[in-house]
Amino acid sequence: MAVAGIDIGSLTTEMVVLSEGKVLSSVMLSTGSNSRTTARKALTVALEESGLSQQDLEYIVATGYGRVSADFATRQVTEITCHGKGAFFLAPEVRTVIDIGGQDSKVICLGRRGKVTDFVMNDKCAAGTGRFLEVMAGALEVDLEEFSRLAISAGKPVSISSMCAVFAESEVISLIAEGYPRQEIMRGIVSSITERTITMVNRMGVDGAFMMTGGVARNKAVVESLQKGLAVKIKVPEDPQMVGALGAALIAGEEVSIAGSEHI
Amino acid sequence: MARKRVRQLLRWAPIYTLGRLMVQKGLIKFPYRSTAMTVDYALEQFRKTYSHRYPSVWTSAFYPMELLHALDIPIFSPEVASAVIAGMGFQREFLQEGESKWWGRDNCAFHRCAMGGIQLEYFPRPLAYCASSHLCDGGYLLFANLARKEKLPYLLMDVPRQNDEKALKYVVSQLQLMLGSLQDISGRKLDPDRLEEAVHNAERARQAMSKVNLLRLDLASPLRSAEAFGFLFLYFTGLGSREMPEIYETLAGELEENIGNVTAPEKPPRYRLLWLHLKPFYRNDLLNYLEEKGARIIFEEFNHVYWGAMDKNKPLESIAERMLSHFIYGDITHRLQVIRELAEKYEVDGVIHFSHWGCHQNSGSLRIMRDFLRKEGLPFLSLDGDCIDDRNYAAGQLQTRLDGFLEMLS
Repeated sequence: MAVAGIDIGSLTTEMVVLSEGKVLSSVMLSTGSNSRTTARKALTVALEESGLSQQDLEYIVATGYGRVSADFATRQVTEITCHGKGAFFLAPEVRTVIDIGGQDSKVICLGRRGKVTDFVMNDKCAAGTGRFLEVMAGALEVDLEEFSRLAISAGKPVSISSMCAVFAESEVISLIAEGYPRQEIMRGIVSSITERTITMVNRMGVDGAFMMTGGVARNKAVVESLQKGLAVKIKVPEDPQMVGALGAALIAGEEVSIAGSEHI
Repeated sequence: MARKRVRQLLRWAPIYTLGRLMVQKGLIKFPYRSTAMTVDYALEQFRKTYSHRYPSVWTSAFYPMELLHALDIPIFSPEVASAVIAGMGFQREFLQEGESKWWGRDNCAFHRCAMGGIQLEYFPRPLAYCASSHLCDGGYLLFANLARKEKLPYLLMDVPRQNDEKALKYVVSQLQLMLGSLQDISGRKLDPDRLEEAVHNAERARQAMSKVNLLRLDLASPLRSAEAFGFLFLYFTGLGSREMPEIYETLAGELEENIGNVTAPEKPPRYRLLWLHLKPFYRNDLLNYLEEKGARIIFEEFNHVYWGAMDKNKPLESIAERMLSHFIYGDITHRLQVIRELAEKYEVDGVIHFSHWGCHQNSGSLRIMRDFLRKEGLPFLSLDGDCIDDRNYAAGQLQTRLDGFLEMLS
C-alpha cells in the first residue's frame, strides 16, 4: 500500500507518492488560477508515474495554502508541520527550517525528535517571498536562474528601501534609469529578502543545524546571503520545493502505521 | 440619509429605554439571565449618557470607575463603545472617518474608531475627559487631543509604575484631586456613604467574579470564552456600580445550577488554552474555529481577579491598591507570575496571546513572555491581529497559525 502528500502553494503544486519509505513518484505543476483542478491533475500525473491507481493510496495528506482544494485528501495538515517533518526526515540534525515559498516565508524550530516547537510566519505582504523575487526579476527582464547567477556575481548591493513589492518594483525601475548596474540592483533585492528573513530567524532565537526549503532555496544568491548574514551553513535539499509534499506523505505514512498498530 | 437617521436614533435616549424594555420582556434572547442583565445595564448607561438630564464624562479603560459611581455620574467609555460598534459591524465607517482626521492606521483601532465616532457625532458630548496614565497610552493621549479641540476639562490620573507605600499615598492623593475636580465639574457633592457603598459594591463584585472563575474550573461549566468576554463590559465600566455584583452573583448561580444539572458530561477538549489580552470584537469565527478543532479557551487573562479585598472603610486606599496591583502594569515579572498561576490553575496545554495592532504595553513584552513560557514548557502563539479593525483580519492566515499551533500541541 502507498501513501501520498500534496503541497498546494500559491505558485506551484507538488505531490509525492511513497511506498515503504521509498519515493515512487514526485511531480510539480504550476498552481495557476484553479488550485482544485491543479490538485486533481497532480494526483493523476503522480499516479501515472508511480503506476498506481487512486485506490492504491491508503492515505493522502494535503498541505499548503490551497490544502482545502484537495478534496481527495484524507487529512489536511499545515505547511508548518509538513516542512518540519520533511526537513527532519532528510537531515535529522536540522533544528531550524527556513521556508520561503511563493506567498509566505516562515522559520520553523524543531525539537530533537523533529517535532515543531515554535514557528513564525510572514504572510501579510509579498516582501521577502518568491513572488517578490519574481516581480523584481520581471522588472529587470531576466529569468530567476539568470537573476540568481548575476546577483551572486555582483560586487556590492544597491540599497532597496521599499518593503512593498509594488513600490520596490518602481524603485528598481528608477535605479535602472539612474544607471546602476543590474547585478548590483539584483544583489540589493537579495539583501532586502535576507534582511527580513534574518529578522524572523533572530525572533525565534534559534540554534542548531539549518535547512532551507521552498522555491526561493533554489536561488543560490539568497542562500549565500543568508549564510553570510546568519554566519551559519544552510543545508539545501536537492529538491527544496518538494519538502512540504514529502513531509505530508511521511505524515500519511505515520497515520497508516498508527492505524495498523491499533488493529494489531 | 439612512446613516443620518441611524445617527439620530443612536443619540436619542428613549431608544435605549425601548431596548431595555425588549431585553426585560425577553424579546431578545440571551444564553444567560446574567447576560441579559449586562445588556440591560449597558443600555441604561448609554441612555443616561445620551440624556441631557445626566451629564456624563468620558473615561479611559482603566480609570477608577468607583469615583463616578459614587458621584452618580454616567460613564461613557469610547473604547468600550468601539468594541460595541465593531460588534454591530459599523466599524469601517468610524475607522475611515478617524483616519481622515489624521488618526493614522498605525494607531490603536480602539482609539481610531472612537475618533471616528466623535467626528461623525455618534458619541455624546461629555462634561470632561477622564483618563488614567496606566496600562494604555492611547486613551489618555486621545483624550488630551479631544479636550484641547473641544475646550473641555481634561482630568488625568497619574499612576506610577512601582507598587509601594509611596506610590500608594501618591495615588490616594491623585484620587482625592480627582474627586475634587469631578465635584467641581459636575456640580455634584460627594456623599461619603456613597463612596463607601461604591467600594463595597466593587468588593462584592470581586468576590462574585472570583466565584465565577472558580466555577469555570469545572469541566461541566458551560460558560464559553466568547460569552465570558461579554462580561468585560462590566469590568471596564461597572466597578463600584450596584449592578455589577448582582450580575456576577446571578452568573455564579446560573453556572452552579447548570453544572448541577449536567447528567452526561461533555467530552473534554483535546487542547485546553489560556487566552492573553483581548479578542476581535467584529464578527469572526476565531473562537468557534478553535472549538471545531477540539480546542477550548479555558480562561481569559482579562477575567482574572488580580486585586485583593477592598475595604469600604478605606475607600481611596482600596481603589489605589487595586489600580497599582494590575498585573500588566509595572514590572513584567508580575504578569508572568499571573500567567504561570493561571496556566497551572486551569491546567492548560498552551497559551495564545492576541496581539492587537498598535497596543504597545502588550506587544512590547512578547519576547520576554515567549522565553518565559518556553522555560515553563508551555507552547506559546502570538496571534497578530486587531480587536476592532477587521481590515487587519485575514481569516485564512490566522487559521493556518492556529492549525500549526494545535499541531504543535498534538
